[in-house]
Amino acid sequence: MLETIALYTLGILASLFAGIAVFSPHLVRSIIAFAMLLLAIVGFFAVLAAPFLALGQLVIFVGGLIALLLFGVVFGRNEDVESKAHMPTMTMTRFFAAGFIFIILFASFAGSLSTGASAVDFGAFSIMLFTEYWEGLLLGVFGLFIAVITAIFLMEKE
Amino acid sequence: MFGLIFFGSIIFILGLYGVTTHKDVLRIFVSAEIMIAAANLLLAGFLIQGSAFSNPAESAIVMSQGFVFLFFVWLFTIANAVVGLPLFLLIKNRRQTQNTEDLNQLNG
Repeated sequence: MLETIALYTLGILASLFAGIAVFSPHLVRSIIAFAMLLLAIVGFFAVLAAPFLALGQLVIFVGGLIALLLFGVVFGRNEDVESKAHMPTMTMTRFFAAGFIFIILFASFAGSLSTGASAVDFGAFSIMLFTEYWEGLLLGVFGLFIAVITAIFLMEKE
Repeated sequence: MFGLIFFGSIIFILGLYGVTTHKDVLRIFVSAEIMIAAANLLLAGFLIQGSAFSNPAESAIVMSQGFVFLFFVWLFTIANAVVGLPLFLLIKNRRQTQNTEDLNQLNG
């Protein structure tokens, strides 16, 4: 019952943040709303007893992707950002955002860990990744390597 | 499970709306990432729900296979972002625009 309520609450919050990310006129707020959406999805995974997915989502998407997007805005000198650079600071919004992040992370991880439920066998996952699916892993890592080289090449052209 | 599909679909449709209506390249990129996040959510939901029907030993194998697939999705999403953002910056610096209506050189 509690799990169902948590899932529906997270779903409503995720939909809300997706709406803000799409419809917000301010690009940085849009990216922050996207980060909140990803955090709500982290909560989804944690409630579904998949802490590995939750942590992966947290590190790769919330950490890496949001940082990349914000750097893209900063180096792109976006017009939206420049025109609204002197907006008043919104302490309450920041406070609620920080509270939301804390509640999502604490409650969902505490809930998933207290039940002792771990939906994946990490040993089996690692062995499977490096034995059965090593071609795919090699291809993926090679693709990522090419992507990084391409990114460096593109940036050096400037 | 119904809720998961419902909210995943709503998030995916919002992302799709953003991709089809926005003119800003970076906003289109963010909307595409919203679509990928929704697809990830749906995939994980189906995986967790689907593995509940088999016995515990098979369930762990099914989950591990699904997580390998999700791992590849993450890998290619990051590769997409790593190439996409420098391309955006390159276009922005060379053409001095990020409006897709001005980027019509390949229209023919």
